[in-house]
Amino acid sequence: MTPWRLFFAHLRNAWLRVLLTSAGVALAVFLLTMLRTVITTLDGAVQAAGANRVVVSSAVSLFVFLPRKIEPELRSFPGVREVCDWTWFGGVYIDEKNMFARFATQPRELRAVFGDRAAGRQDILMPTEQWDAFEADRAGCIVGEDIALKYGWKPGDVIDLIGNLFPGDWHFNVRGIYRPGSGQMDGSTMFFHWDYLDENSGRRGSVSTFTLELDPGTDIAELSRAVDARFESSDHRTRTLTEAAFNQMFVSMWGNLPLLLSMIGGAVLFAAFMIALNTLLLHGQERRLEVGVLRALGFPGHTIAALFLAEGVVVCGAGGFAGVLGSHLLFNVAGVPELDRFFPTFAVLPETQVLALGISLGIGVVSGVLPAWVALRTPVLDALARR
Amino acid sequence: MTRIPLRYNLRSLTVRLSGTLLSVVSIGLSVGVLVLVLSLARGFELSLVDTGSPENLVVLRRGATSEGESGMQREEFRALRALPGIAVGADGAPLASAELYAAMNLDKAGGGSANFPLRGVMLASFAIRDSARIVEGRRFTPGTREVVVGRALLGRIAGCRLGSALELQGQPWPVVGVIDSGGGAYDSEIWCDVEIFMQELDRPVYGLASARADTTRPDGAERLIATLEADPRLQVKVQREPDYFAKQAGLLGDTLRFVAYVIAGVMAVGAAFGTSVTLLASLARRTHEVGTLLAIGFRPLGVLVGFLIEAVTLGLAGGVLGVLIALPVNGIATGTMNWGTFTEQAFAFRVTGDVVAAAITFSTLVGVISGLVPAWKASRLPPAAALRR
Amino acid sequence: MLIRAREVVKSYTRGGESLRVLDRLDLDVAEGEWVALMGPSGSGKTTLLNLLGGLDVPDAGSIRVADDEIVGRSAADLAAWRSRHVGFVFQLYNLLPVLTAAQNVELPLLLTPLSRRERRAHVAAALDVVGLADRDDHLPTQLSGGQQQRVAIARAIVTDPSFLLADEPTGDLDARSAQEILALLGALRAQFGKAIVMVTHDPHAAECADRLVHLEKGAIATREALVE
Repeated sequence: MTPWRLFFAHLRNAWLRVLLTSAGVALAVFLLTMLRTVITTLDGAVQAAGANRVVVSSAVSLFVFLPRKIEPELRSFPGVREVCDWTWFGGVYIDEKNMFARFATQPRELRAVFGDRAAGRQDILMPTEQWDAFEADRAGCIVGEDIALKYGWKPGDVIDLIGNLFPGDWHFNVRGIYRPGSGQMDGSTMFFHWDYLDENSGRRGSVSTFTLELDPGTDIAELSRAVDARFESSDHRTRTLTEAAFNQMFVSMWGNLPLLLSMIGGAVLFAAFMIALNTLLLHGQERRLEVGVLRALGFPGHTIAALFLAEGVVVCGAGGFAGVLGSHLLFNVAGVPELDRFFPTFAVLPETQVLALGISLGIGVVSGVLPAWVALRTPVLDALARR
Repeated sequence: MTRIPLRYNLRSLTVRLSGTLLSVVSIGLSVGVLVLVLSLARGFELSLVDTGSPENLVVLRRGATSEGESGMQREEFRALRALPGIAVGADGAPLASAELYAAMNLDKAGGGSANFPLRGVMLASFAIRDSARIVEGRRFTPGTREVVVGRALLGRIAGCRLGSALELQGQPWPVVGVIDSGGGAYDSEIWCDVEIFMQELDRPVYGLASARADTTRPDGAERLIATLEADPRLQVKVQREPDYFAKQAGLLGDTLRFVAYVIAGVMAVGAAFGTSVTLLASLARRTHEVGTLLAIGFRPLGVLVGFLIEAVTLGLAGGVLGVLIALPVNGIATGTMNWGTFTEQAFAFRVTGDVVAAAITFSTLVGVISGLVPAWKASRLPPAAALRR
Repeated sequence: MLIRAREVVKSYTRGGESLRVLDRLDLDVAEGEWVALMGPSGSGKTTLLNLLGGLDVPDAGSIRVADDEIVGRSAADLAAWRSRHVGFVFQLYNLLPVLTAAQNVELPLLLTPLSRRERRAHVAAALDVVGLADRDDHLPTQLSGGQQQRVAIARAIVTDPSFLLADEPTGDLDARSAQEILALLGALRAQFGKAIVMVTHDPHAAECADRLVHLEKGAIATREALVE
C-alpha cells in the first residue's frame, strides 16, 4: 500500500511552490490551446465547406469583378441547382477599427443555398419571417448575432456605412439577425441586397464571386473545368474552385503562420516541461532521506515511483485543467473582440481541450519519472547518509 | 551605504545547478518567442516604413483604409490636378498622378499562386514616388503592357526577370525594368500603365492619386492637404506618403507586437513562477547562510537587493539564451498577408538592436518579478532564527 | 540461532583502491540476545549492520536469519523481507518531518495487509510502549531528540520484527535521554524477547548489552560475554 498521506503532506507543506508550478503549467496550457485554436480555426474553414458547392471567381484576382450577366449561363451547366452571387462591399462602419465582412448578395438565392432549413441548408439560421422581411426590403440587411450583440443592433435599426470601393453614404435597415449553423459561416457578417448596391453605384452589374450549389453526385472537377473553359477566351476569365479550396486560398495567405505558431507552441510546451521538471527534481532532492527511509522500511520501488508520478500528474494536471478552463471561459464563453477581426469563428474545440489536458498530464508523468528514476537509482545507504 | 553581499549571491546560483539551468532555459524560451515574433514585426515594418518622402501625398477616397480600397473618378482627378500648390515637374506639368492599386493573382516561381500588388501609374509617378528608382532597364512605355517590377519580386513570381514576361489575363506583360526603393514598399510592387491596367480590370475609375506638394511655398504640404480635403468636388483623405506606409505597417506590425508581448508575457510569467520556485528552494537551503550575513552586519535591504540581483542574473542569462535561440532566424525571408491590401508582402525576419534591447529589458523584468517573493522572504529572516539548524 | 553470518566479505572501492571492510567475518546472534558492536571508525561495524539488515549485499559469505538465507536475493525480495523481519533505529531518528508521530509509526504497517483499524490499534500500542501515547499528533519538529528516538523505536517495533538493528541510537542524545532510550531497548528485549544488534561508540551503552563484539579492521577482535 502506498503511503498517500505523504503525498498530501508534501502538497500541503510546499503549497506555494506547488501553486507556482501549477500556475506556470496552467499559463503554458492556456497558450497552447490558444495557439492550436488559431490553427484549427484556419483549418476549420476549409473543413466546414459544403461538399457540393463550388465558387467561381475571376482568374485574375479576387479583387476583379465578374459580370452578373453570366449568371444564367452558369445556371445552364448540368448539375447546377442554384447560383448565389456575393460581392465584397468593404466600407467603414463609424470607425475603420470596426471590421466585419459586408457582402451584397441575392437574398432569395442566399436563403436557398445557405439558409433553407426545410431543404436541409443550415449554414445561416434565421426565422422564416426575418428571411421574408429581408427579401421584401430592398434596403434591408441581415447581420450575424456576434456583431448584432457587439453593436447592439436589432431588427428595425438602421446601419450607416461609408463606402470606399463603392463611394458614398449607405444606409441599411436591419431585417434579421442570423446564427451561424456551420463552420462555413461566422456570426459577424452582414448581407444586403445586391440590387440596392448596383443601382446606387452606377449599375455596373458586377459581382465578386458566384457560389454554385450542385446536385449530389455531380462530377465537381469536370464541372469546374467546363465552367473555366467556357469563359477562357472571354474578357472575364474565371477560376472555379470547390468551397474548401476557395477557403484554403485564404488560409494559405497566412503564409508561414501555422508553422510559426507550431514552433511557438513547441517552445511553450518545452518551457512548461522545464517548470514542472524543476519543481519535481527539487522535490526529489529534498526527499532523498525520505526515499531512503521508505526503502529501508521495505517499501518497493514502484511505491516510491508512484509518489513522484502522482505528484507530477496532479501538479501538472491541475495546471492543465486550470489552463483549459481559463481558455474556455475567455474564448468560448466571454469572447475576445480583438480576435474576431482576424478569426470570426475563434472557439476552442473539445479535442483541443482534451489534447491540452493530455499534454499536461504527459508533462506531469515525464517530470515525475525523472526524480523517481534518480531516487530508485540511488543506493539506499547513500540516500540515508546525511550530506 | 547599504552593502550588498554580491559575490555571495552570484556564487549561490551554482548551489542547485539543475534548478538554475532549468530556470534559465524556461526564461530563455519565452524570450526566444518574443524575439521571434518581434523580429517578424520589425521585418514587416522595415519593408514598409521609410518609404517615400513627406512632401509626397497619397490621396484616397474618404473611408478607404488602403490604396486597394480606394476609388477616384476621372473628373475628380482632373480637378485635383488643376489645384494650386502642386509642384511642377521638369516638363512643366504638375506632379500629380492617377493610380490604381490592386492585388493580382500571379503564379509563384516555386509553384502555387499568391496575390501580388500591381500599381497602375502615370509616368509622373516616377517623378513623385522617386524613392522607387529604376536600377535596371527602363520605364514602361505608356499604352503598352510593359511592366517594371520591384527588386524583391525577382525570382518570386514566375517569369519575373528583366527580359522575360509575367502572365496576366492570359497575356504576356514584358518586364522592362527593375525598381529599387532601398528596402521600401515599392520593392514588392509591380508598376504598369494605369490606363492599360484599368482596361484589363474593366474598371471605369482610378483608384487614388499621388501628388507632390510645392515645397517652395511655406508649409506647402500642409496647405495642399488642406486644399484637397476642403475641395467639395473631392471626397478624399490625404496622407503624407511615409505616414501612409507607416500606418499600413502599423496595422500588422502593432498586431504582431501585441501578439509577441501577449504570448511571451504569459510564457514569461510561467517561467517567473518556475524561477521563483528555484530561488525559494535555494533560500530554504541557505537559511543559515543568510542568517550569518545578517548576523555579521549586512542589512535586510542589502540581502533583498542581493537576492534580486541573483534573480536578475537568472533573467539576463535567460534573455541572452533567448536571443541566441532566436538569432538564426535573422534574415530568413518570409512572406505574409498584408491585411491592409490583401497582398503578399515579402520581407525577412530582422533581429535588430531594438528587438534585442526589448528582449533584454523583458528578461530583466522577468528576473525582478521572479525574485520579488524570495528576496522579500530572505530579507525578513530574523538573524537568530536563521542561525538555527 | 537467530542470525548466523559466515565468512562475510565486503569491499568498497574508493578512489580506485579496493578497501576490504569486512574480512571473512563470522557472527552469531541468539534469539533475544542484545549484541553491541564497537570498534574504531572504519572497522566495519555499520557495514555489518547494513548487511544484517539487508540494506547492502556482501561480496561473499552467507547470512542466515531464522534459517533463511538473505544473500543473493533480489532488491525487491530484500525489501519485502526487511519489512517483515527488521526494525531499524537510526542515530538521527530519520522520522519523516511531514508526518505526525503516529503517522510515522504507521508507515511500515502500510506494507502489511492490516486494516486501517488494526493499524491504528498497533500504532497506539507501540506508542504506548515507548511512553508517547499522548504525543501521537505531534510533528517530529515538535518533539525533543529523545522523544523523536522513541517514536523511531515505536516505528521499528510496530510490525513485530524478528530483530532490531540500532545504529548509534544514543549518539545524538544527551546523557539522560540516552539512558532512557537504553532502558527502553532493555525493556523491549525483556518484554518481547527481541534480539538487538546495536552499533555504538558509547561504552556506557555497550554495558547494557549482553555481549560486546569488538571489530578491528573488518574482523572480530575480542569476544567478551557480559554476564549481568
